[in-house]
Amino acid sequence: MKKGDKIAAILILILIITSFAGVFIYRSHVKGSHKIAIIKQDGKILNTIDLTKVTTKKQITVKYNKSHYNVIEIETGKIRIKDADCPDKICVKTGWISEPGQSIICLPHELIIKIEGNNSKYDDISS
Amino acid sequence: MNKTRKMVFLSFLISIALVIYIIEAQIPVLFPGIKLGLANTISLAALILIGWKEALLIMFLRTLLGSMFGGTMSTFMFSIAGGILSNIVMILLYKYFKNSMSLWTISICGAIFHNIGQLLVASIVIQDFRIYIYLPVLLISAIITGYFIGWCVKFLTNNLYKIPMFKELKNK
Repeated sequence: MKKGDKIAAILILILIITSFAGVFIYRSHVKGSHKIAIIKQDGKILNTIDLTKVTTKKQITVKYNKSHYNVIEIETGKIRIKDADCPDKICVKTGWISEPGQSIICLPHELIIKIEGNNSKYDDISS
Repeated sequence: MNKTRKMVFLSFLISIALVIYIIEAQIPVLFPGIKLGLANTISLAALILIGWKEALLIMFLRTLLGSMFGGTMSTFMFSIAGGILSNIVMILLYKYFKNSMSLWTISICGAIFHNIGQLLVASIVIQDFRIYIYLPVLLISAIITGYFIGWCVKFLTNNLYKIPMFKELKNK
């Protein structure tokens, strides 16, 4: 290992630690007893749903550019994208989210569903 | 080496990178954004064996054609942003730190900045900086893939140095 390697390694290590710390701080900051799901598209909030108040299964279809769609399914305490016509369907594969801080993102359709809240008991890095 | 010959040769390199990219796109995605980035071996090898302008050109054209063949406009935007940032970083690192830094580090830094660039574009598209939550996982995968690509390029350059054609290309 040459000298430049060591410097780069230290910098990268700092970057990793900072990013992990940042995520950790963000997670513990967002705490929730009332799970509120926010559906945003193209930066605009389309829907705000209190997941804890949901009694029956609901489905919403969100359109993108008139011809593309995402089908969002909502049950008590959880939400997911059930179907979409984006090429990779990563949003569909993400499945259910139910904890504050978690989110589902459909990049091609500029759609993001995230759960806000206060007082979360669980903490996990990936959704 | 005259201009036509050089242009043809670069086109070969770009098509090799393109094929690698398309084949790699068939591999299922573990996590949004984690890719092996094998096509970057060509860019990095070109940087070392030929020159920085050619490396940038290869990266740009490969991304352009690659997203025409196997992606949408949005994949193009993310790949270009990550690609340009990572390429510039690698070019600068190679130019100034060629002797004090090994190839693997340069490749790893390139991979890291590729991910940062992609996240940057994604956060602008969604207008939400929270996508940076993905950063830790992407960083770890960038280090692993960067190291692997570093090895690939090491093998490539060690053997390609011996071919006289590359000497011609470098001295132009």
